[in-house]
This record gives sequence, structure tokens and C-alpha cells, in this order.
Amino acid sequence: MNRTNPTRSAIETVIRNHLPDARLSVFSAKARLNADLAIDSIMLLQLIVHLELEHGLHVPEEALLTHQLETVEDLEALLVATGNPEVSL
Amino acid sequence: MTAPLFYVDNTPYSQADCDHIVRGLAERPEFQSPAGCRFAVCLQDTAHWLALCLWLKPLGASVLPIHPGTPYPAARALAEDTGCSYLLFGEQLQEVTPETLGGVTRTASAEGGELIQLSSGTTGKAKTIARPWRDIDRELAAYVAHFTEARALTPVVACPVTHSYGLICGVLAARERGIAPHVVTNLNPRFIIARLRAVPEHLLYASPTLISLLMRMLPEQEMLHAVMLSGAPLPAPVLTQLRDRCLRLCQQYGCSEAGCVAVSADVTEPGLLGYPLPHLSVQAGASAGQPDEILITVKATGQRIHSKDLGYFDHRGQLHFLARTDDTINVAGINVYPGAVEDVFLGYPGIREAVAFKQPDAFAGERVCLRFVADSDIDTDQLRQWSRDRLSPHQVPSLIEQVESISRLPNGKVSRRLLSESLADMGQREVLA
Repeated sequence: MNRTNPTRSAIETVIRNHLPDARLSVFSAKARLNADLAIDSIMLLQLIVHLELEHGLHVPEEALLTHQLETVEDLEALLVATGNPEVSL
Repeated sequence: MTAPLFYVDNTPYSQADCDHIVRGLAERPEFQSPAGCRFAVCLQDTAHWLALCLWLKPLGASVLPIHPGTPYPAARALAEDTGCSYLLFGEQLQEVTPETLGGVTRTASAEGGELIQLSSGTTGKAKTIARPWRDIDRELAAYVAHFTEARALTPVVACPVTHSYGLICGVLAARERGIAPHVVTNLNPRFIIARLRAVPEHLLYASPTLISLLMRMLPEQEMLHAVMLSGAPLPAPVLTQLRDRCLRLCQQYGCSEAGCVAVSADVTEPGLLGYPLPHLSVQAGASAGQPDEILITVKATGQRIHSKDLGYFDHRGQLHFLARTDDTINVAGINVYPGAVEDVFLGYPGIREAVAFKQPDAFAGERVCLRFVADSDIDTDQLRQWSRDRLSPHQVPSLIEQVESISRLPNGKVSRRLLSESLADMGQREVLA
């Protein structure tokens, strides 16, 4: 668990709760979403939707989800707070 | 400025832009006699793939489109396995040097060129399907003539255009209607919603999973315009939710060999596939009580295709899907369709997912098993009792199991066959009381 980085723990929580087929055991900042965690494009989309709906974190409209988005850290860098004060972690 | 042929994300591409993308190709040795050659194409830039495809098709070349996410060794293996003469692999067309492969076969059926697709099939082993472009042109003409509701709509294609669904029904059908389709490759949900807002009279082509996710992100007061579903029919509660969030919900049915077979421009119930396209002759059961395998005959060529799907025509002539023949559960001679059982359980408060599948049984031949995912712990005895009031006796599952999650295939689909096999492997048969 990472207690110092709320965005990272939100990502980890969503993977644990919603992506049963992902390889959570190798989760880390440097873990590659596809190659290490086995998250494909539709699973990535699920991850993003749950981060927004449950954790108040969103990927801005103009952000590109391309192959440059490779690791957990890359995803963290894309996420911004939605500005919803009722968000829980 | 000339009218765009298509858009990729925000960018319009005109004929001049496409000519620019494929410039110089005609002089290359690989493209001197493209008719009958098989070109495997794996380009990261979707606009470059589409420009190349639109250029190669009238030349009578055969094309194997490969999903842009595919790594080079896998793309090369696919190209070799399908007998391609050349592989074009890279980001954009200008930087790609066509790689010569072994296969330079020119078959009679390849006259006029073919679109080569790989079908995952149900066995897990990929099957090569080569469809002549002229068959695809017949399908396109029939699709456009038959699906009149789409005439004024702009397809927004948020699924791979290297696959027939996105390429033929999304992109090429729009071109046939003289409309520029909007292809979305950036799967950021907020971006897709912004594209849909920018094209108010849209017809969204996407996987059911993507559509469901977009609906969850869409502000409550907002609706989508028209949405196309494909693949296995959605469970009843999901269908109802989707119908509430768009003005028009369509469903189409098809397979890799035949392309699109039937379209419904208004899906009112699960399994409704609509009227068959006019270039096909389709056989199926005469009623819900007497379903039969959906058999497809291509009128122009006489090609017959076994769908391995069970279905029937209603009194109005609309085709309905009941189940994959492999998934149908035969309980003491009575057919049970998993979807019908699942829809009942999905109506129980708190149940989010339900999958019915079969297990062999010494007395009944097969029996029904059900796994479900719910928000809280559910008493399965109480649930079984509740289901007895809503199902026929042979439909009531003999095993009901609450699980944390139901695993899916890489394509997002549940495999009832794998669930059946995994349960048998786990030696849980004694649980079947």
C-alpha cells in the first residue's frame, strides 16, 4: 500500500475492486499497465471511469491515451482532481 | 478546401490529404501489380491505414489489417500465417519499407482483391477468413439500402477500424452514403463524449462495454443520439438502461464470413436482431418455441454459412437470437437459454452480474449452473426460492454461487464454455446437491 500518494492508492483500489483479471501483485509506480499489470484498452477505460466516479480523479478531455501512457506513474501524471468536494478515497 | 472523406479524432482528411499520404507508393516495386497480392498492414496512425485501404481496394489488392497495438513479431507471424506477400509495419506510411514475405499466391477467388480477417472463433484458434471486396460491396449496398434510419446520421466509430465491424459498417458504409465518418482512436472517455457532442446527430459504433462505460460518465440530463450494438445481445436490465440514455438504440448481427446479416433500428427486447439484409437469404426457427440454427446464404454466390447461433423469426419477419448453440443447456431434452435465466437473476436487488452455464449431469444430461456478483452477501437458498417463482422448473439452477468477480476473455466477453470447464476441473461436482 502506498499511503503517501493518494492518486496511486486510488488506482490500486480501483484495480483491486473492479479489474479482477489484472495482475495486481506486481503493482508499483513503474509497473507497465499493459505488459506488467495485464490491463488492456477496455480495462484502462474501466479504470478511468471508476477513478472519476468513485475517487473524483479525471483525465482531461484533451489528454491522449496513446502508447506513451505506459506506466502507473504516467497515468498518475494525467489525472487531475474533478473538484468534487464529496469525493472519498 | 475539399470535403473531408473521414475524420480521425479531431482531424479531417480530404481526398488530397489521402493522396498525399499514399504518394510515391504507386512507383514502388511492391505496388506494380497489386491485384492478387496480399498486403498485411499494421500502422499506428489510423488515418494512414484508412488512406491506404481506400487506395488499395479499387486496385484489387488483398489486405490483412492488423490492430495497431500488435507488436512486430506477432504482426509478422500473422502476415506469414495468412500467406501475405508484404508486411507494412510502422507508425506512418512514408517511413515504412514494405517487407517481402514468402507468400505470393494468386488464387482465383482473390480476383478483385479480398479483405482478410482473423476470426477468434469459439475454439480459441484463430481462423483466416478472406472475403472478396466485391462481396463486401454487395454487403455495403444492402446495408445502406436497408438501414434507412442511418441516412441522416454521422457514424462515430470508437472501435477498431482494422476489424470488419468498424471498417465496413462504420467507415465504408458512411462513405457509401457520402458522409464523412468520425473515427475515434483516443479512448479517453471524456474525449469520446466531447466528440459525440460535437456531432449531435451521431450514430455511435463501439463495443457494448465501451458504450456502458460512456453512459456512466455522461451527465444525467444528457442523452446520446443513436447507438449501435453488436455481438451477443445485452442482458435485459442493461438494455433498458441504455434505451433510457439514447434516442435510438440499434442492434446488428453478423459474423466474419458474411459480414452484417441483420439490423434492428429499434431494439425493444434482448435478442431482437431485426430484418435480414436483402442480399442474404436467412433461415432460422419458426417461433420462440421452435428455434433452429441461423443459416445464412449469400444470394449472389450461393455461399452457405452456419452461424452456430440459435434463433427464430417472429410473425413480422424479424430475426431473434436465443443463444450460441454451444451454450444452450439441454436439461432432460428441454433447451434452456442462458440469457433467459440470467435476465431473471439480474432482476434481483443487488445482483450486478449473472452468468448461467452448463454442467453434465448423470440423470438430466445437463443442468443449469449460475454464478453471480452482487453488492452484498446474498442468501443463495432464499435466492433459489425467489427464482422458482419466476423460472420454469428446468431453468432453475442446481448450483447457485456468489463470486467476487466473473473473469472474462481478452475481448471482454464471458465464456460460458470456460466456466463450465473450470467448474468441472475444480472437482466441485459434489456441491451439486
